Amino acid sequence: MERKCIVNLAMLRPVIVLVLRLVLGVVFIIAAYGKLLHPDVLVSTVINFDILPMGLAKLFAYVLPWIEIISGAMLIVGFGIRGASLSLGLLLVSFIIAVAVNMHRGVSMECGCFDIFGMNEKIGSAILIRDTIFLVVTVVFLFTKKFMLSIDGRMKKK
Amino acid sequence: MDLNKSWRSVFMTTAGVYLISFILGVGVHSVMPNEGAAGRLNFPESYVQEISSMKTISIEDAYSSYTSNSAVFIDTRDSAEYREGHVKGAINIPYDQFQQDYPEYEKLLTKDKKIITYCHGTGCGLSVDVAKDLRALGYTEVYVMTGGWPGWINARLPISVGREP
Repeated sequence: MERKCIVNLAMLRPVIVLVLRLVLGVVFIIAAYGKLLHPDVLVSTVINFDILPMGLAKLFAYVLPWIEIISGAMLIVGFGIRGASLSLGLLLVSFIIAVAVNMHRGVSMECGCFDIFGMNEKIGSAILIRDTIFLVVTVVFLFTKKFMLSIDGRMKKK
Repeated sequence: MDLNKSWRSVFMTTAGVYLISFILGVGVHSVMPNEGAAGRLNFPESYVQEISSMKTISIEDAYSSYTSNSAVFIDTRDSAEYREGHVKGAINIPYDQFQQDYPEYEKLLTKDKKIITYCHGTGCGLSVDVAKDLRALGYTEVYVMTGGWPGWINARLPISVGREP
């Protein structure tokens, strides 16, 4: 009986990975959409984080939503999943550093994470925890070999 | 060997994502510098330029103005934060209540005195917003205090708690 349970859990893993892949993909596409709708807000948010010099902060703000949207779409269709996970993982590390540094400075500011549905989150430990969970998921993807219902999986079979 | 190959393809994919994003991001910005990809917002005088065109003042210089009584300090954080502690003598005009609160303090904001706005620190934009509103009303000697409240308190400069004046 116990043995059967273990087998079932092992079989469940690809399904869990698939669900997480779709969720993470959708989350990043939604985040990117909000940022593309309000580019000026994004530029000022990145500058307000006061981590990068002005020129680099602006460049980061222009490029950021595209990384999110492309990587999110790749996770959903299942193409280059590990590469997309690495690109999102690196972004998440930068978000975590930026939020942590500003929390340490004692700055109360908007995070600009999801500039959509009127969401107006302030930086804080909830955001740090959320980003860390996302980061862990991307690391899991990075070390996963087989992905269910993915172009990667089909290409491997061939 | 195979492992190396698989990681190489991961890095190549990531590099590809970043490269395409860079081209799209910079491309969209250069084609539509005043709008986003969704083309909805107009971007009059960008916020970025407003920040860089704003006069700023260091904690040390702000303190000299404080000791010589040649400046009015405006705390732009919300009133609860202000009551917990603020620059001694500072008035409180939260950034989102400027229109309502300004008339109450208009008499204190004489044009012969500097006006120094501050909020939560260098990364905080609230003081910039209030400084902008004041400049729109014709005040020219408006400064944003870099370092803000954390900088002031770290330097152990005079503070007050509660409401004033």
